[in-house]
Amino acid sequence: MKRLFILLLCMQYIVPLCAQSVTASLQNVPAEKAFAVIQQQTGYEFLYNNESVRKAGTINLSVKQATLEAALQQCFSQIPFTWKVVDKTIVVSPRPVSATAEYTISGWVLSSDSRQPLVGATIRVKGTDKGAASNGSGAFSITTGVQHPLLQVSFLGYVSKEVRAEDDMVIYLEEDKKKLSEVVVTTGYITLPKERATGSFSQVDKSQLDKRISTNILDKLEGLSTGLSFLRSVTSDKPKLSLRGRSTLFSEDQPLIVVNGFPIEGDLNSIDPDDVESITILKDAAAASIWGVRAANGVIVITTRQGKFNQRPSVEARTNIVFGRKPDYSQLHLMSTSDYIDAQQILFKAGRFNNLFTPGSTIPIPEAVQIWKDEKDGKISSSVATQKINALRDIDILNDYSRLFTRNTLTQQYQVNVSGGGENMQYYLSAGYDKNANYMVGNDYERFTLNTSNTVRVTKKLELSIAGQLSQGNTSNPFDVTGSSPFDIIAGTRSATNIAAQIPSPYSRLVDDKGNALKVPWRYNEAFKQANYGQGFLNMDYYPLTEFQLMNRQVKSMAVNVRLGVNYEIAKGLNLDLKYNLEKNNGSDRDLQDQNTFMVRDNVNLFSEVMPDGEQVRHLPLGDILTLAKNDLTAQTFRGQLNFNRNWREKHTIAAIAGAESREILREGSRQRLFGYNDRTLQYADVDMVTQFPNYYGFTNSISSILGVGAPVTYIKDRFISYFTNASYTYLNKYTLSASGRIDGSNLFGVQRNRRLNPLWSVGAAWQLQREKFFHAEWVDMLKLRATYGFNGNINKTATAYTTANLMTSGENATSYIPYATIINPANPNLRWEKVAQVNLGADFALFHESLNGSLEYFNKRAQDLFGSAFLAPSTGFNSISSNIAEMRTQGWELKLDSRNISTNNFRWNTTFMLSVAKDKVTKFYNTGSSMSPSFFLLYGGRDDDDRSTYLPVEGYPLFGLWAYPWGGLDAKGNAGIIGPDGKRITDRFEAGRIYDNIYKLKYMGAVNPPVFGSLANTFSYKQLSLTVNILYKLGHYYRGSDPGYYTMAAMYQRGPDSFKDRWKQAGDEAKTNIPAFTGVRAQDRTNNDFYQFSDVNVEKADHVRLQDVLLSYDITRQTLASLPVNRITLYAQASNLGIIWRANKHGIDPDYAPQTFSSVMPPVRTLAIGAKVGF
Amino acid sequence: MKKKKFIIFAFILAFAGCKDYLDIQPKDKLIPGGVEDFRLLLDDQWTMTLTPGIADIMADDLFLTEDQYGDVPQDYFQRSYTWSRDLFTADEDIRDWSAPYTIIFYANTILEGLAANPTGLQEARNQVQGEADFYRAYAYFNLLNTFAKQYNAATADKDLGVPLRLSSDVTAPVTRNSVKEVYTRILTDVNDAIKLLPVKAPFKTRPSRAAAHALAARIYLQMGDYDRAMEQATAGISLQNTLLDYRTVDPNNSPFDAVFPVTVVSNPEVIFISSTTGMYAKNYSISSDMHKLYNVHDLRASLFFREIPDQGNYQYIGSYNDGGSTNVPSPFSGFTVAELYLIRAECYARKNETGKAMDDLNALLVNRFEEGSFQPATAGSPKVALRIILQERRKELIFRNLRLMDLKRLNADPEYAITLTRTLNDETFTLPPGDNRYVFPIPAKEITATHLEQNPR
Repeated sequence: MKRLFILLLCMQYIVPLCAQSVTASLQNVPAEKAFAVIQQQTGYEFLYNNESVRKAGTINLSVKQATLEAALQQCFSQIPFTWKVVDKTIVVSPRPVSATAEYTISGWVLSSDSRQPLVGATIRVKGTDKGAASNGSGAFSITTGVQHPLLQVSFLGYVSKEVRAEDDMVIYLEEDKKKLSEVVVTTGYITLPKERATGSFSQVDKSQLDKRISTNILDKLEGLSTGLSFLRSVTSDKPKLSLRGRSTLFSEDQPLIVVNGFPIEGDLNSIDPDDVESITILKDAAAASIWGVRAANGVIVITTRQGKFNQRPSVEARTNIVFGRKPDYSQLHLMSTSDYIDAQQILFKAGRFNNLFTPGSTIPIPEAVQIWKDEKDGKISSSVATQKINALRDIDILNDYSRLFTRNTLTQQYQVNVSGGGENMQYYLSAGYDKNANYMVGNDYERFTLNTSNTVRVTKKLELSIAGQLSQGNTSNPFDVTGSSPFDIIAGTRSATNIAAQIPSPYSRLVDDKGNALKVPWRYNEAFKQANYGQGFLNMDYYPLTEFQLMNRQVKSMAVNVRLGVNYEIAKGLNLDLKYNLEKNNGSDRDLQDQNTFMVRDNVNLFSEVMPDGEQVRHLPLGDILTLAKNDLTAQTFRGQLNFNRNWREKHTIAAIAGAESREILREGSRQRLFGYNDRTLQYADVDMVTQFPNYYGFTNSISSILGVGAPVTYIKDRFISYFTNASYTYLNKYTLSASGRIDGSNLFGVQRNRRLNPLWSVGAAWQLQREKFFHAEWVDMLKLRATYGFNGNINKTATAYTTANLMTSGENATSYIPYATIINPANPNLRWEKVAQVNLGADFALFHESLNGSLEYFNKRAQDLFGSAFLAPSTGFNSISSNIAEMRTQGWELKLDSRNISTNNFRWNTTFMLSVAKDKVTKFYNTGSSMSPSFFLLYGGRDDDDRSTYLPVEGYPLFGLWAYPWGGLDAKGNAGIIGPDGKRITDRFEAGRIYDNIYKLKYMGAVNPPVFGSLANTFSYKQLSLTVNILYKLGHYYRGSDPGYYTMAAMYQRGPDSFKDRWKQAGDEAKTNIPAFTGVRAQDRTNNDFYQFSDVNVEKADHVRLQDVLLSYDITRQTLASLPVNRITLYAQASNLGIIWRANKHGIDPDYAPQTFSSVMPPVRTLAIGAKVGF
Repeated sequence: MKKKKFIIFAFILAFAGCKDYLDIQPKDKLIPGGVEDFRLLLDDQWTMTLTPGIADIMADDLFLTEDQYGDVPQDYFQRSYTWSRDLFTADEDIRDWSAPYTIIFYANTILEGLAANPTGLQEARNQVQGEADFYRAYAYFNLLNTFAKQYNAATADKDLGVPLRLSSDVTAPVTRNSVKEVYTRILTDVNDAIKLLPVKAPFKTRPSRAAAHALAARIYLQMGDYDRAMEQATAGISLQNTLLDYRTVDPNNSPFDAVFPVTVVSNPEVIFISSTTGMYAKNYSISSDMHKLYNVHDLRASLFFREIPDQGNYQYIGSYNDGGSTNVPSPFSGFTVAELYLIRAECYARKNETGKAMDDLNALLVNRFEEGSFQPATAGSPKVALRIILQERRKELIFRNLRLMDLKRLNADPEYAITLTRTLNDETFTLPPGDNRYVFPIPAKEITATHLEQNPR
């Protein structure tokens, strides 16, 4: 009725004038205008509701001498109206719903920048309530009564657009930079528009994450955020993250990782990277202080994908296949076998192997040494000896090793997901499967993930959400250090007992010409073996290949994460948010050691007792040894939070939260070992673990002392309780003030109760300068200034204020075998938690019609009360005490630039440049008793590795600095010297220690971690083809080269670096080389080794530029290939780890993986990935 | 509105009632506070039964060939062997100094704890307190012997001793107390221990009353108080007097390595087990001249030593320590019945009771000789008796960290003072009696931290 009434009100009579033929050429004119033209030419009047016709948008009318009928036909095909001629009057009325004519309009919505599909874009037929949302491949389809209606297309963050419908149309939306700058950032507690944020946030969205192919989400982050650097060390294959430099000594040094609002305690590998929607990196105090005592190293907030309300289901499938080469052991830069033999001969001549031939020696004799000994004893002639030795020179154990134990790698990733939502619910579901065949034969990894996230609007005010994630991983025969020195398998370090660090000689062969496994000289010499075999002992030979083939270890992990949430609107703008998160990880490790492995045989022998009557009794039964371990983690968080968000008269905006949470983390583990196990019958034997049995060495051991599992049960429970608040006030959308505060408490062991609660806070301000009336620069689209100050905390779980002892099991006590307790820390009642104060100044800008966007930031972090081991006088009975011993300052700045260099319809070129500077310095070190002795720094300093007990702060220098002796060159005999502070040459190690008794006397070379780093990414796209080239750089740091290996070569048969070939060999060489002579004399070799290793000539600049990866991708859509059975296919290929483009050192060494004798991590191998993504 | 207020109120309440939420303690850690805790600390054998061992590197029994010298693990061991004036570099952790102080820290913690917490059975409290006293006395005694001058009643109140730490406060400032002050504390502690300790201990790693007497006898002997030394040795012998009969020991029981064939636990003459922090026992060797001091029928010649082929010296394989489960036997430095007999014999000789002296000595030696070949030792005068006894002492107690102590106390008497010489790489080193180098320097690390006065070298 209402509608009719309005229609009547607006009726008009239009008088016709002349002929009935129509000629017109109108483009994009309102329908009324067309009606007016027709009326003028035909005299027919139009009767219509001009308001509703106006809404129908514009039409085109292009006719020549057309009949009225035809002209009208054309007009009304474009608007949802119909007409009827009544007495020279054309009555226009809305097209009835049951109109017989039905047209299907379909097409795609793509981003004009990235050419990526826009999922969930809204497409509406103008003037009607008909509409659709684009699906996972950006496709949409609408059935409507009009053939070519105007479509209104909109998508969050993009400029809305009206287009005339055509068949199979492609609609490109331009990114709305203004809106993008209004993107939201999330801290895990609160989501706020970036415009109103005062803190320093870096955001990485899905499209950026998609540009690197990896099974690990963190790997994808490298080079995508300023301030975040990936540090690599020789001791671990996992890079350490460093956000804005380091601000702790011994406490947690890694950023807190938050997934969907809760810290993740388990393995981040349980997350399928394809499920990740975005990552926000919280860098300064205002951003991170809401995380309180865990925020000192910054916070990385990962948000996984969700559905959307009112979105049609969208399905996406993806697969990646990554090929990699097997490790290239030449990267270890080891000495050749021939050089090794020369070195061994020098040692032999110097009598260093004499002890191998003393009666009663059990030490195996290297083949070459045996040959020289036979020669010396006259058993073989010199020429035969030389011949035999020369035959060994061509062998390299690494060739056998590489051929038998390693392979090219293959990684497969599959994922399928569906998302969508209705009026009252949204959902996301995904399933993923990964399979990695790693470079060690037999080392495979499999992962299966399931992920879902659902939200239901129960009433207008009440929303419930439930999300769950399940991940199952399975690793077979894992290796702890990827690409590490290949000796771990040969050296038997994978056995339950760590066999002495002997290494087979480089000329040992692992297989004979027929491929049969060969034994290597190992652990026992032949004489010893023969003496024992007579008494019934098991075979004592060591066959590396057989050992390798007998490996049977399975590590499984199961991770479950469940989130429940209730959101209730109490009043306008005020919400109560209750959340519960349960994270559960179950890990199991099953290591089956076959009875034929050396470890089992050796231990059975060790516990074989020859009785006086000659009978042999085995206290350890023959059979497999099965080691089972379980590690369970349960983390539960309950959080209650009030959210307030309100705007008054478009002037004042207040956003605030306040809440509390409790968190409990329980880690439980157990380990057991079964002996005499039979994997077919599942039976095992009981053994006497406690009794001391004499062994063939004459020592007595209990089985538990050799084969015990250590602590069989572990149980650690930690609790936290926190109260937090965060508020911001914005005036006129120009000025924002923010504040946040948090109090944390925990059960931190031994810390006095009143020190457990630790308040941390921050304040900040932001100013949208371009919105000021006085600001006139037209080329500036946006300029925002911001400043923050505040505190983050850090905890150290090993801190203890009381004299604390570890409880030890009886089996570990000497002779008495009774339980005991050993004091690990004397009392220190003054312990406090670490605190980091941070100032951050930043500017965000958009210039030249948003073709250049970026931000510039300055920060200054002051870390206080840093926890560490304070030196104690030895007369206290302790070397150190846990204490708050140091202060540090880290300052730096960060620049990020995003530039659209070229942007035409077909060709685009975008560049992203990032530059980060972070310099740390120890400003205070309360070392009452430190000797600051340089040998400590030389041996352990200059490494940022996981061994936290081995470094020391030096006031006035970066935490990880490199110091060196001034090199004194080689003398006429090729022996090394260093220069003392008085300019005199020092040739004696003890003398050097006495003269250089203080670190400050040494030469400071520089920092180990790069103070300057960043990335440069260029993306070129031509039509559907796009190419991204990623370059990473690190500048301004140093590394120490490998030691010449002179000491370890003799001590443990270790193979030194290839610098050996360049060593001093004869008089005059001292002018050409710095590598000292190898003399075979222990004291001299050690001096030569250490002086060279720790002098400034062995320190190199580590600056380098690396071509990280190149990604090529191509989109196929129905638009380009009409017969495509799916909506869209994206094909891509990526080449990674392409190598170093430029480096400062002249040795061809990758400074991130500088080889160190016997502990090298190799550079990652080049990989090629190919993949496809299909949207249905 | 009421409902809303209620929601907010309930929400706040839910988090307010968590008072005890944080009061959980980890399961595998201990804050020592009661007698049972102290018991566990005292049973930390790796800590409590360590003694310095560097003295044996320096003393004249050890003889290394050039090869062996080159194999010595620590630089400062090498320099001790050649009596260098410089011994320790700035950052070296000298266990000979720090290990006794760790024992002292444990003892202080326990003695303070007992005073602060009066609970627990009196018997258990006494034992724990007695053990703490024993360990503290033993540790200080070992420190003095290594890092201070020989006790001399005339100068002891001026001679530099070691810092006396009597509380567990690691921040307490220290200076070097006089030798006399430290001895006073040692004697108080050991006499307390004698009163408190039970006659027998279930493990030889726990001090018994006999062990306390043995310690006291060693201390008084070192101080030259022969009356009291004899008194204590007698008291010890009255509690434990079984000697191991070497004639019953099967030398083939340990065919492959350097340990005494009878385990330290089953050896009846061991009163208390302690071990030195020094080199492994198998790294010790003696010269062939020294080996000749042992009679051909003396079982110790073969049970303690084996000839090293081509080297001309003898490897020591006689340490009572079998090394426990570690397979690295550090030399035994504890107390034995044999030592008590030797102390008492010396005291008798010094008091001119030659007959009693030789009786004690022969009571020991009869267990050391081959079946049927033992000839009781005789002496025509106390002086001769003393010479014989001191020689037997050296042979019996070799490599137990006692030789340097003996040299120091004997050097005080011109009649027994000797000049040590040793040759290495064609270089001859000498150490005259009373030389400053008899006293080890305080480790540089300690000097840096506490600025203690250094021993002159």
